[in-house]
Amino acid sequence: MLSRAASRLPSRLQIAAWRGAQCGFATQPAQEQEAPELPTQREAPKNLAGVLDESAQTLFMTEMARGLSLTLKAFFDKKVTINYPFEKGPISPRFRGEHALRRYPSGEERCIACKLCEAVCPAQAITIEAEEREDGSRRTTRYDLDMTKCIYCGFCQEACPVDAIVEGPNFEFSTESHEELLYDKQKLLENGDRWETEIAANLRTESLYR
Amino acid sequence: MAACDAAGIDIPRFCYHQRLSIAGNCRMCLVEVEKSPKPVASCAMPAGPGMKIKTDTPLVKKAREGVMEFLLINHPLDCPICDQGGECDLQDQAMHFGSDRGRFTEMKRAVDDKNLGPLVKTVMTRCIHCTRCVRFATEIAGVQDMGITGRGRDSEVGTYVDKLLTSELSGNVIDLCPVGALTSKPFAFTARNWELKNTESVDVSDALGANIRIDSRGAEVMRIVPRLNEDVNEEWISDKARFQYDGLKRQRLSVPLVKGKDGGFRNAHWSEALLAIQQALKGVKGNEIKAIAGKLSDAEAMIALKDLMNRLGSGNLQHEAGFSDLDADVRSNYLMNTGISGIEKADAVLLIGSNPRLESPVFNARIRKMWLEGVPVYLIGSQVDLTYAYTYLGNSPEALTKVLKNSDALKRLKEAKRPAVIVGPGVLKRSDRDAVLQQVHGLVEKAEVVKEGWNGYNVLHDAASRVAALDIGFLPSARASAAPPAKFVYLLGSDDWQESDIPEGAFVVYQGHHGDRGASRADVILPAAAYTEKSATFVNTEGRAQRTKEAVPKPGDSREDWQILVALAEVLKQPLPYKTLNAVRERLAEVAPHLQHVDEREAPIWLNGEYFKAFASKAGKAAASNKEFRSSIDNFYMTDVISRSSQVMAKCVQAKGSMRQGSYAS
Amino acid sequence: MLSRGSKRAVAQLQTGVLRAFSAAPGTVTTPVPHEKTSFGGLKDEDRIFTNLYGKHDPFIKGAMARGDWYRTKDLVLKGTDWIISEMKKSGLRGRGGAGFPSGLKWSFMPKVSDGRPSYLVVNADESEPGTCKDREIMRHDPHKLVEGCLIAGVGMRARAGYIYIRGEYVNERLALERAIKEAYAKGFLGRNACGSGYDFDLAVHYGAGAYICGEETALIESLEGKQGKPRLKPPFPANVGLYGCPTTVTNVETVAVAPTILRRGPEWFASFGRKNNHGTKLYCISGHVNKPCTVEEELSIPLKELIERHAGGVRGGWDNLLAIIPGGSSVPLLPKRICDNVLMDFDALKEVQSGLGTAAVIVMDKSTDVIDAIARLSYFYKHESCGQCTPCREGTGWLYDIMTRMKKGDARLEEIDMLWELTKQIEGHTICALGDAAAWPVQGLIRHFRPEMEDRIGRAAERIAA
Repeated sequence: MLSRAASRLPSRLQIAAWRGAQCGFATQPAQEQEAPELPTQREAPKNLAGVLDESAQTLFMTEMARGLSLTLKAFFDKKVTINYPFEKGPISPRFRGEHALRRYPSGEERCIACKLCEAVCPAQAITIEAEEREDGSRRTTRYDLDMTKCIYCGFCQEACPVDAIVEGPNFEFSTESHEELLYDKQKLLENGDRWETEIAANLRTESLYR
Repeated sequence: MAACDAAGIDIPRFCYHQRLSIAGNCRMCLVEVEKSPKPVASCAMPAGPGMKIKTDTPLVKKAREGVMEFLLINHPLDCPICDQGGECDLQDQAMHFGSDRGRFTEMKRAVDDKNLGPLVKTVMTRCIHCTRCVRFATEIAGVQDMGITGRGRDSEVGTYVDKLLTSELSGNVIDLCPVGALTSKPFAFTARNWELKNTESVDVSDALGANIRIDSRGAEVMRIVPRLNEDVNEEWISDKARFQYDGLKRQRLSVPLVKGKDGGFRNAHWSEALLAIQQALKGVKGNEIKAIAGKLSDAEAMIALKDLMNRLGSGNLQHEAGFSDLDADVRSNYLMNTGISGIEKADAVLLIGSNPRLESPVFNARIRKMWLEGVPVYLIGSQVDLTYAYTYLGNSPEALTKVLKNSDALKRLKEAKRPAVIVGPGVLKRSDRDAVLQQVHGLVEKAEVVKEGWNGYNVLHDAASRVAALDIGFLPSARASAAPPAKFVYLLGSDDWQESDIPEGAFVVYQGHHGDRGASRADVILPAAAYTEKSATFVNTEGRAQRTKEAVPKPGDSREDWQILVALAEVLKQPLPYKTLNAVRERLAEVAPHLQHVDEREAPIWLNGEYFKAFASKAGKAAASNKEFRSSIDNFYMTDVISRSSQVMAKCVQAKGSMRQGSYAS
Repeated sequence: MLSRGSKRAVAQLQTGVLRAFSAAPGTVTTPVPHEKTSFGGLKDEDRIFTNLYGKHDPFIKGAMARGDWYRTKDLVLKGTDWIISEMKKSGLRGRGGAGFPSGLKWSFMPKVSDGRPSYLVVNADESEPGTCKDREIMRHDPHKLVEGCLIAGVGMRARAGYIYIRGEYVNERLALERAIKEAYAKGFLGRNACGSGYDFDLAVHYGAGAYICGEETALIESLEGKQGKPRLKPPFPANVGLYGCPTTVTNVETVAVAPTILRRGPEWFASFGRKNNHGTKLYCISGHVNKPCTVEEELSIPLKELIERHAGGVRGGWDNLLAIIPGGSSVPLLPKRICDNVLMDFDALKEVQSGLGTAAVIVMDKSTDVIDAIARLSYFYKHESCGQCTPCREGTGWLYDIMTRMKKGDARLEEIDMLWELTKQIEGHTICALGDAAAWPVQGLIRHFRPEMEDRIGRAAERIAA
């Protein structure tokens, strides 16, 4: 049925040729010859047997039966749909989800305020302010991440020399208000603490390719 | 190397610096010279005729790569936390000339950091021993504080004994350091160079008008670095110019304030404040009004104030701290006539009542440069360490008389082809100034300091606004001395007035940007913009008009000075004939055309002997007292409202004090 | 035997001197050019340093008996040009290590002064490991040096000379100072030196024992009271040297042989050794030999003969030899197969990619751990690098680090190539020659003992694996 319908339409090439002619540009005959054989309109059966055969096919809805059999087959197949909030699909270790700031095992935050993520961020979603901490080390006083600006490109984690900012496996962080998506340093560190196990495992698996 | 630079070929370098002696120790600039078996260090190799230098052969490439590898083996990989990151010579050149991988598997060296004081932060592990800082300290700054100790891999740059860097130019080592070993302490970790907005401006911390670049982020000035200007500051700036910027964030006046009945200030709208002034002026006669301009006032504000005062019928104008009646008819009388760079042509120098090390450290470095070339320096003034040796002639006008009579110094000056006399602000602020100046002029004439094609009479000022004030005639008019005590005093950013300048009970308006001495005496305070927040004209001590640019927005409700004055004039029903900045500048050009020629210096003409005679008659017979000459600056780190508000400058004062007490000296 | 020989030498020397003076200048009889083919076996009468072993009085009496200060006035009066041309003719090459022709070097001094005085600086900062020739001269024959200073001073038009002596050489310094005092007392130095009308002063300055101060410009810096760090060249010291004045820095031995050469004639001196490597030389033989000694011998003597004849042979016989460093620690070592028939002179050793250096022959027998030996040298250079220029400061330390690991075999095979490349990165890229000196021993090691190194790395790997 479909093929028949398609065959009724003029081929794209023909249209092009027609347009070319309209515009005064003759299409090259060689191109027309090279065009693939297009399905032509199936000829209506001329003899009785042919007519009967076609009528029987139509009468018994064989095409319908074939289609339904496919449905039936799928009905008994293993299901691919998952029960989302309770079940989750597999996620690549490279998945770029919600951001997190990590800590060293000692509890010291990793971020050294080098501002490379801020510089590389194409959406300019990151804002950092830094100063010298009392012990003389370089730390952020502010690390703001506008999750509504973020395009999840992952450049920030690529740029980070100490693996502090990472995009974790979490993708379920929708909120009811815009303000809640403006993450500050504390929120990001909390994320890091919460997801550290998964993030560390992912980074370990990926370490060979970085 | 200079030849290659002229030919436009870039040669990598670390230790070489145009203004420092050649060390040749980084070995980065190796090039191949025909007929030489080994690559040679191009920085130390004089170019000869017919010399064929190859800078892109495999040999050169290999040599550079090798040197770069050696430099990097003991350089820590801490670029992310290094403040030099992003503007680091080593980073850039390692990307260009270095290998793409390291082969060093041993332990890296670690070096103790040195304490160089509150301005320069050290991370000596990053040091690549280019010795630029050492050479700067010894050659330019003239303090023998820095050097290399130890040998081989254990050599360290530092102060020999645990000591602070005592130079007023110490901040320049930060710019010189090609790596992050020496960085700015106040700027530490606060911003990255790529997120800063650069604005080219002019410094106002002294009368030199050093060219600076203001690096700002958002509404904040993050740091100030020098800009190259061969004629003014070469590429150095003083520590005050570089580090006082944190004073711009503290003690600021951001809203108009009016003193209430109870003696306390309350916030007010502009209209309220201006109306309060209008009220106060009611019934005050023209000659009972007085205006004092401050050290940081720009030319635009001063001309507006002058015009307003004249309209109100007052000629009682004063530039703060005893400069009131200096003869400003002839420019060459109060300018540095040789020019700042021109002083280097002089072959004998006499300093009178000046301590250039405090009054203008960058200018002092120029005198030191001349001294290194063998130019003799004589001093009449307080005997202090000027970073170079001088012949001390005494410290009183009497000494001047003695020199004038007959002395080796006079003979030497007379013999010199281009002698220079530098008169410091210490002289101009004396009560017996005219008598002293008369002697100085006598000396100038006797020693032939001014001759065909050379004018060696120089005045060194200590405030950024002074020359502009003299240029536009911000001076008391002839009748001003006869004026009754002022009932209304307008302080244009003036904080260093003398008690006698403001009579008891006078109504005081303070227009400025910092809450300091002036503001505390005021009845109405009008907040104005500081030099980083406005485009304004300043004239430096050699008479060069330069303009600042707006780098950051003005805080709160503050306005530019001229705008405030124009608005006040409206309120007082004495409108000024200009409404835009350009119009103000046109008015400036009417009064003093050279103020319109920005960045140019117009050599003033000199009126010879006749003028002196006139001067002498004017000065009268008043004899000079025998008071000692004193520099106008006691404390280099705190000279104006900005530096007084700066915590960094306060730390400098503290560090210097503690060093004098000896806690750092041992 | 030696004392008898030295007496004869004195006699010979005096006749030589007489001959030199009797021949009127300009009528030099050209000696029959004959190609010598065998070298060594210097006769006692041809020795210059006749009191090398301190058997006689080293001071003025003994020295004059040995012919020093004999008619020095006449030598001085012959003038600068004569001295330089005679030195050039003698073919004397600098004995400090680089082997630059001395006459040529002295002639670089300005002919006409531009107002600045010229200085002679004698480099007695002998710190090269294995070298002990200058100390023998200063200890036992100081007058040879003092007289040489006057002659060289005249040759350079210098009015003053400084002897920069190594700080550790205390006795040598005392002997030298005494000799100078004696010379002053006799009127040989000072105003109107030797009655010639020429004024020449000589002073001794002692260093603090830094190896780098043996480098001529570092020596000058040290002499000026600064840190002993080499200067950039150009300008060369002959143009801008001590206190900014023209200066020539020469080795003790070079200066000390000059008077004898002038007395006995350049032809006599040139009759020793191969072409371009003329004269006699002090060899310091140390290490695994039966009788370590310092000996004066003809240049171009075969190395084997030198050791067998004067040092009593290698410990355990010649076949027990492993390698020899022929010219002090800074030249590459030579394995036995080269040592078998190499000649001890500048060119022959250069051909086998080593150098004569200071002719300090360090012999190592088969009991030596050659990698350890070179590692120790690397430590020396690491310690003595002045730290001024990058390749040397960083490179010597790195070399030492790698060599320490190589010693234990704690390395990878590729690192041998890396080590080679590193030495090439240091060599020729530094301000002075210390970088080269640090690189060469390691290069020699890799060139000749690479299998040893590989073997050790392999064994260490096995040990770890086991």
